[in-house]
This record gives sequence, structure tokens and C-alpha cells, in this order.
Amino acid sequence: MKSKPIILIAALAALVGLGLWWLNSRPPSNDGVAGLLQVGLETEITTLDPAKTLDPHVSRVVGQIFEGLVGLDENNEVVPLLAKSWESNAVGDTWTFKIRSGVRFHDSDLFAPEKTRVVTAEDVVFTFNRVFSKDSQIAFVLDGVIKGTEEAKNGEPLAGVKALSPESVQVELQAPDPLFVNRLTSVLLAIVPKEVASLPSGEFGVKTTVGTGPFRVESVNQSEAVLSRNPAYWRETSGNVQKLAFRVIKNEQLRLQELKNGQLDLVRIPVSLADGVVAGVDAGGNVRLKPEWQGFHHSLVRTFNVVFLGFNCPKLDLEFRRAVTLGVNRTELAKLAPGGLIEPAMGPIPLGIAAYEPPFADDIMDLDAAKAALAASSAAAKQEGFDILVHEKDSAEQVGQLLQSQLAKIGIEARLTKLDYNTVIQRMISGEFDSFIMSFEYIYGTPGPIASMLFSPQNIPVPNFTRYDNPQVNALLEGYKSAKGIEAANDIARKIEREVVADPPAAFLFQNKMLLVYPPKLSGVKVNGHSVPLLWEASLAENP
Amino acid sequence: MKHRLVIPLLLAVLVFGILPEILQPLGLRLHPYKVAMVDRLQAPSGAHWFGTDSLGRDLLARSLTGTAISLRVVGRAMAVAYVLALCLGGLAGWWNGRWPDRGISYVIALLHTVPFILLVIACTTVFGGSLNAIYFTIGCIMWAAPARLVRAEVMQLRNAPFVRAQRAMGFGPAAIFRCCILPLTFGPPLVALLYLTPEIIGLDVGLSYFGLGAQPPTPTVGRLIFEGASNYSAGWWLPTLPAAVLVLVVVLIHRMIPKGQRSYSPGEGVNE
Amino acid sequence: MRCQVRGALRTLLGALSLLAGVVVLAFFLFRVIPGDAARAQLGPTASEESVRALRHDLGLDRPVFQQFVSLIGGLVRGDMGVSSFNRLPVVPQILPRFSITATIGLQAGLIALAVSYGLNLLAWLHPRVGRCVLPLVRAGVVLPVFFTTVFAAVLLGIFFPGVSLSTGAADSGPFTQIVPSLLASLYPVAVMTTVLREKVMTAASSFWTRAARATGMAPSAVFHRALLSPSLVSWIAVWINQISLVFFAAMVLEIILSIPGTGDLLLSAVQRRDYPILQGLLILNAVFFLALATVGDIFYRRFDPRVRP
Repeated sequence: MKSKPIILIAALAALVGLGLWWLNSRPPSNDGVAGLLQVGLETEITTLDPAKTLDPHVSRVVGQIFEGLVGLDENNEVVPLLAKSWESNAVGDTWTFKIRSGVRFHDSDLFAPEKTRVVTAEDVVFTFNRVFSKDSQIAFVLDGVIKGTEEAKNGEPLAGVKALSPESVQVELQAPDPLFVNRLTSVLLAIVPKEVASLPSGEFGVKTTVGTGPFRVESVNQSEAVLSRNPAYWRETSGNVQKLAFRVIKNEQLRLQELKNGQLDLVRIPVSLADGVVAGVDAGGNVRLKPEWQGFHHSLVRTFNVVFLGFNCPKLDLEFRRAVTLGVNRTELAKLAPGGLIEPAMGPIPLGIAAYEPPFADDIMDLDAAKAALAASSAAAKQEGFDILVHEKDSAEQVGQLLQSQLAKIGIEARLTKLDYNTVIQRMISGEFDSFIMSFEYIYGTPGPIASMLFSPQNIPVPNFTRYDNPQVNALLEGYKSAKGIEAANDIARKIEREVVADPPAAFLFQNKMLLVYPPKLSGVKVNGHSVPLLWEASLAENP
Repeated sequence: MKHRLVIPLLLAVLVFGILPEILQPLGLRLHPYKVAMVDRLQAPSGAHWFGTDSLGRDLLARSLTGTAISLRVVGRAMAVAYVLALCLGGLAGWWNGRWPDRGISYVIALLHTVPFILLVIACTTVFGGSLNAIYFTIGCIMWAAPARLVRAEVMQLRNAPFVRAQRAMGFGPAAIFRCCILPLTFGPPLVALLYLTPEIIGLDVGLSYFGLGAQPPTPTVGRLIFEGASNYSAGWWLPTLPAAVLVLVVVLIHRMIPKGQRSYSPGEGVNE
Repeated sequence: MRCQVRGALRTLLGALSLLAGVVVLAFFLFRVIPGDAARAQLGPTASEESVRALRHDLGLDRPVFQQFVSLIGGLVRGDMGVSSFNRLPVVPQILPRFSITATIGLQAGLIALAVSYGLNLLAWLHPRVGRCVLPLVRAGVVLPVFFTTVFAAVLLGIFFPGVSLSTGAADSGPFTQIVPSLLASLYPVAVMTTVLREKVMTAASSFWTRAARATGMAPSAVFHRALLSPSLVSWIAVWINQISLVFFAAMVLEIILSIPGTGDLLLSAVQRRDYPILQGLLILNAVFFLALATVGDIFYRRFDPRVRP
């Protein structure tokens, strides 16, 4: 009788232990499905309609299904996609695109009864018109660029885009722009079939999703999107991924765990997860992963984004803003993530844009100049304290805390106010702030539109949240419009960046690189500057 | 009957008044706010007993300071809730069946039906996100459960023989209420609130998800656990050690409540 | 019997009036939170005019009273409107998520019932074991629900990383939610075990137990006949009360583990300021809990002879 309870407890404990061990070693549920690549996704999918995809995470899924006239390759060079070639007139305000022949849309009942159709100029015209329709949320991308956008917003057809023939489209701009084609590389401007007009509003991207990309939609719900390889893709591809499953796992730690267990094959590692994966950098400057990630591959790519501390320009005088910009230690900020995931940035134009070199040779940090500027400043923030708005995304809180300790060293007492992301945006729009920390992922791939978006006084208060109005910068932005050629345009962009550091609307802090980690059985993964993985050449080895 | 109140009261004063005053200077001596990027994410060692966090700050210092801050502020929330529970619960019990009782009971039931966290979010966005505002809000919501107890007690006592005797002797109802009934109700709600302490501390974690709670860089135990839990792959010590401190405090509170007054399902009881 | 029916009806009426209060509260609660659903959807880079257009589309620029009236009108018709975020009807979005939360909640409740019964039986049959195990169980009561579940999830992650905690659409079946259910059941197990133990111990010193033991009944029979019966009412009442707590714990778990249930929807809806979904969640939540409370009340009246109808 006395030994019985011990046996019982031991049996129970053994049962629990066995249960956990069994659950622990259960093979991933999708194991054994040939050619299946599982990618971790950070947010829910509400729609895959390119005209509504403002979420950078969902755009990575959209980028597999849809293609625009042009795109960016892994070196951030503009490459022809649905447009075979293009040319502009001498002035640079009229562009003619030749549509690639024989590109078929994915099979769909939309094209009854043939189930598919070749892409024509009409689809391109329809897509550009759709950008300004009520269905789309991306009118701002081309607003004021193409002729007739004002009227298009009121429902008129877009005057500046015409089909010259079934295989060529002409686009007339409101002002010459030598880099116009670079505006079109974003996933948002992907070409959709004109039959979409016949669908009820909101159905495209949810129930029916048809593009021309290397993968087509098999099934979509809020927590998973399954794509399958497009057998009729126009490009020659060497990959063997047959099915692409994007699984939504919002919890970052969980996503990491599933990658380790083999339940996911490709995961983007943001700054907040880097400490769990990256050990550091080796002698050659390459990322070195932690020992428990032995054997995993990684690829570190520059994408177009910037993290900055935006000022409320009317509230803070020039000297104060300069003091902060010069006093911040960007090299120390870069230590927030190991492995060089964070690259210090002095200006808004991201590194990695083809053919653009920023004008800053060294770090602009200068503590003495910062203290001098602070002494000369008469901003209220000097006595009352400098308020920084932070939120829960993109490690803003960490950055804020680090900035607080750095600014204390030059004599600025910074206070952090943490609110949720949407409330911070509200305060930014209404102007109730001293400064805020924000991370912007750029849709544009060229310096001009970026600068114009952030600094043009016409864009106050959105997206020129800092309410910046600098006559020199305004003049340079005007000059950019009439620049002759890429070199001249980039020169002006460099001048803008230098001016923006001398009279700062924001202290630009750093740029995040995108780190992808994947198991050894996967190869051939490439990423472009818009952070869209290019997966049509990805291959899964047969035996892991 | 007096010691139904005395011991929990002493306990409350000890935990929420005295303990923070001991822990905070201790924590501050170890520099909880000093950022040192060179030392970030160090495992527990001789130099840093609890290791360091992702900004290089000593985790033991932050845990101690965080506990002190959490306890001090929770104490304030409880004080608010206690007063409200006594007043409103007492009123409801005394006027059982009439409209003050109906109204107050209705509000109590309403508060129970709505998810707690939503009320806190709504109120904090109105009253501001400062630590004090949040705990004032929590106090204004937490009075419901203890108030029920007070109400039940008052209802029972109202019909007690000694009360009837006093009325027969000519004492007015208000006097009876003040001198004889109310003091007897001091104990139970205090105990109930002491049981709710860990819930309140843990609320901080939930608030962090909504961008509320303590403003950075102020540590509170809840925030430390939340940050640690969101980042445990960077270091196992980040959530576990602050959590151990929380467990210690909570178990301490629980063990010190007199055996007779312990209840394992606080808030249970009279359904009407 | 008629008295009981009248009592039950009164409870029902009380529940309905409470529901009305929740509806009003649901409406005004969220208008108080700053932030704009239209701006939240379009992000920081969209122009003010497109945000204004969307706001108009969503009906958010109408006067508050008008919005309230249309909400009431919709509810009367049984229509909870459409989500501001994806323009799909609210109820079909909430129900499947609710079924997930309900699965976790009910599984956790059943586990709690089974385990608390088992542990108490074990403690009665083997008192030494009881003395070791029960204090541990009591410790579970001390810690907040929030904390125990989060922590267990983290510990699982650290020591048993292979245990799959997230469940997407890929898996389905009764056992996919078993791990979250186990986590959610930790606190109810603790409470119910302790409560039952208290009641059992009180019954153990009563005269009928002594009589039963004196007549030579086997210990397990004594447990079931003499000890369990008088404790049943309180134990089940606690169980019903715990169910609502379990649902709360399940919602917390969903948020932590990214399980697509109501907790997850609540978090996203608050972040996106999706008022129709929030209102729908609050109201359906209230309906569920009030139904539960009413059932509990009726149960109490019917089975507890001490409560006068």
C-alpha cells in the first residue's frame, strides 16, 4: 500500500513527460509535400489587390502574384517586366512603353470561356486609371505626375495614359522626369486585367486574384495564403518550388521557433529578433549566426527604408534641431542589432539606390557643435524638456530610450511618451508633438519622389509631418523636375540632402537591412530593394 | 472582530508602503537607467546578478526598482478601490432593494461583463497615460468585486439583532451605520483586494500590448516580463528572473494573510 | 415551481437590461479612444483627402447620435454592420474565431473538472500524496491568470521548442488546440482543486462520513457518496464561474500565441479602431457571459436548497 502512490505519481509524471516529448518531436505537418516552401508572414492578409496593399508585409505576397511594367532585380536595377522596352521623347515628358507579347494572365473564370488571355495595352491603361478610382488607396503614388490626375480623381478617364496600339502605351507627364520609369517599379502599380471592372467592389484580391506573376493563388484566408507555380510564366525559370505557403504568425518568437523546427522555410528577421539569431560579424564583414543556428543560410540585403526622429519644425528652432541632429550617436544606435543589420544614415535617401551616392563621407556626429548649437537655441524644449513620441512598432521604444541617454550627454532632457501606433500618427497629423520616431518603408525607388514626399510644403501635414518649409529645398525640388538626365538629378538630390542636414526637419538615424534566414535545403533566394523576395528561382533540395 | 482588519491592514501598509521604500534605493544603487551598449544582453554573472537587457542595463536593478514602483502604484489603486468599495457597497447594502442598490448593483454587473482591458484602455486614453492615471483608472474599475462583499455584509448586518436593538433604543439609522455596521465591513474587501494584487501587476503586461502602461524607461515588473517574453530568444534570463521576483512578492502576500480569512476563490459568494 | 419560473424570468430580464447597458457602453467607449479608423487603414503616407473620403465611406463623419441610432436599428434587425477594415459583415467574422476560443475554453474547463476530481480522489485515497501535491496546486491560485499562461507558454518555448503552439488553417481537428487548452486550464485546475478540497474536508468531519466509514465502506465509495455529493453544488458553481475566467485566459493566450481567436481579433480591432468589430465583440461577449451567468443562476436556484427562490 505504501508504494502505490509513488508509482502513481511516477506514472503520471512519465505520462506528462512522454506527452511533451512526443509533441516536441512531431514532424512538421506539411512535411513530405514536395516542392513546398513555407514562408512566415507577420500580419494578416485582408486583400491581395495591389491597389490596396499599403502593408509592406503583404506586398511581399503580392509581389509573387503580380507584376508591373518594370521591376527591380536583386541589384536594384530597373528591369523590364511586362514592358519589353521603353523610350522617352527628347524633353522627357512623354514615355512610350512596348508591351511584351505573349504574357498570359493566370487561369481564371474571369476570362470565360478561354480561361486566360494575353496582356494588352488596354490592361495597362485600365490599371493606371484604376489607381485613381474609388477602389484604390494608392492614388498618391502617381498624383500630380501623369497628365490629368486631378480630373481622374473626380472620375474622368486619365488623359495622360493612352493605348497607341494593342502592344504599346503612351504616358504623358505633367513635367519632364528622366527617372519616371523608376517610379513604376513598385508592386502597387502591378498590372491587373481590365475584367476587374466587372467585379463587385472589394472582390478582387479576396475572392478573385489574377496576375501575371511566377505564382498564382490557390487559396487565401486571413491566416494563410497558398500559391502554386504558374506553369505558363513568361520567364525561363530554374527553380523547383511548386507551392508557396505564406503562414501568418504574428508572434515573432514563435515565427523564429517554427523556423528552427523546420515548420517554416523562410523568415525575415527584423531588428527585434536579431539578437536571438545573429552572433555578430566575422572578419570579412559577413554575418555570423549563433551556434544553435548552425547550418542555416542567410542573406542580408539593403532595402529602401529609413528610421528617423522627426521634429515639429514650427515649435523647435533651427539651433535646437541642429543640436539634436549633431548630438545623436548613430554608431551606437547601430549596435541595437548585431551583424550590421542597422546601417547609420544621415539623410533620408536610402543607401542602395542604383547610381546614387549620398554626400556624407563620415558620421556627422559632432558633440561640441551640438552643445554650441544648443547654447544658441531659445527653444522652449530646453527648459521644459524635449518630448519624444514612441510606439510599439519597429523597436521605436528601444531607439527612443537610447536617444534619451545620448541626448542627456549634450544637456537635453528628453522625455518619452509611448502611445499606440495609430494614436502617434494622429498626434503627428494634428501637430501635438515635439518629436516622434518613425520608420518609413519607401515605395519609391528614386531620390526625387522621396524628398518631395517628405519636404514639399504642399504635403503638410501629411506626409510632411515635420511641417518643413525650407525655401532652398523648395527651389531644389523645383530644379529636380527639370533636371536633364540621371546624373544631374542625383546631383540635385545630394544638394537637398546636405541642406536637410544643415537645417534638419528630422534627425535621420539609420536604415534597416533585411535579413532572411533559411535552412540549407533552400537556395536561390533573392531580394530586391522593395523587400520583395524573388522566389521563382528558389530551389528546395530533395533530401534535407 | 477588530483583528479581521488589523492584520490585513498592517500587511497592506508593509507591502505597499514600506517595502517599496526599501527596494527602491537598493535598486537605484545598481543603476537601473544606465545605458551601456557594450554590455548588452549579458547572461547572469558576478558583475550583473540578473544579467543585462538589450540596452545594457542591469536587470536586477530594474527588477528591484520595477517592483518598488509597481507596488507603490498598485497600493494607490487599491486605496481608491477600497474607498469606493466601502462607500458604494455600503450604500447598496444599506438601501437594499431600493434604487441606490439597484443602480449600484447594475453598474457592478456591467463592469463584470465588459472585458476589463477595454475599459482600462478607454479610460487611460481619456485621463492620460501617466502611471498615476492608469492606476487611478484601475482603482475605479476594481472596486466592483470588493463592493459586492461589502454589500453582502451590510445586508446581513442590517437585520442583525443588535442593530434592531439599537433602533429600538432610538439611534438614528445613519449613526448605527457609521458606528456599528461600517467598521465591521473593513476587513473582507481589503483581503479581496490583496488577492487581486497580482492581477493588477500583471495588467501592466496587457497594457503594453496596447502601447499604454509605464512610460519608458521606467521599469515596472509587468513591463519587464512583457519585454522579456517578447525577446526570450535573446536571453532566457530576460523574462524568467523578473517573473521570479513577482512570484516571490505574490507568494509572500498570500502566505501572510491570516489562515481564517483565506479564500481560494475570491469574489465568490452571495449571488444576490 | 412557479416561483422558480418567476425567479428565472426575473434573472433573464436582468440579463437583458444589462445587455442594453453593454450596447450603450460599447458604443461610447470606443468613440472615446483617439485615433481614426480611416487613417489607421490607409497608413501615414496617404493624403488627407483620401482619408476623408474613406471616413465618409465608413459613415464615420456623421454626427455621433446618428451613428448610435443606426447601430440600434441594425441590432434590432439582427445586423451588426460591416467591419471598417475589410467591409465584410461583422458576425461571420467573429463567429469562427469565437468557436476557436470556445474550444480552448471548454477543453480547458473539462480538463480542470477532470484534474480537480482526480487530484482530490487521489488525495483522499492517499493522504501523504495529498499533503505534497496540494500545496503546489494552491500556489497556482496565487498567481494571476495572465501571468501563469504567458509564462508557461514562454517556458514551453524555451525548453520544448518543438511543441507547435501556433495553429493556422493548415491543421484542424480536436487536438490542435490541446496545448493552449492545457495552458489555459492551469489556473482553473488550481482553483477548483482547492475549492473541492476545502468542501471535501468540511464534509469529511461530518457525521454521515463518520457513519459511512464506520459501516466499513471502501474509501473510494466514501468519497463518492458521502463527500462528493454535498460539495457538488459549490464545486460546479465555481466551475461555471471559472469558465468566464478561462475564456479570458484563452483570449490572452491567443494574443501571445497568435491563435486566430477572439482575443487576437480584439487586439487587432483596437489597434485598427474598427468600431463595428469592437462593438460586435463586446456585445456577443456580453451575450455569452450573461447566458452563462443566467444558467449558473438557474442552476443555483434549482439545486442549492439553501437559496430561496
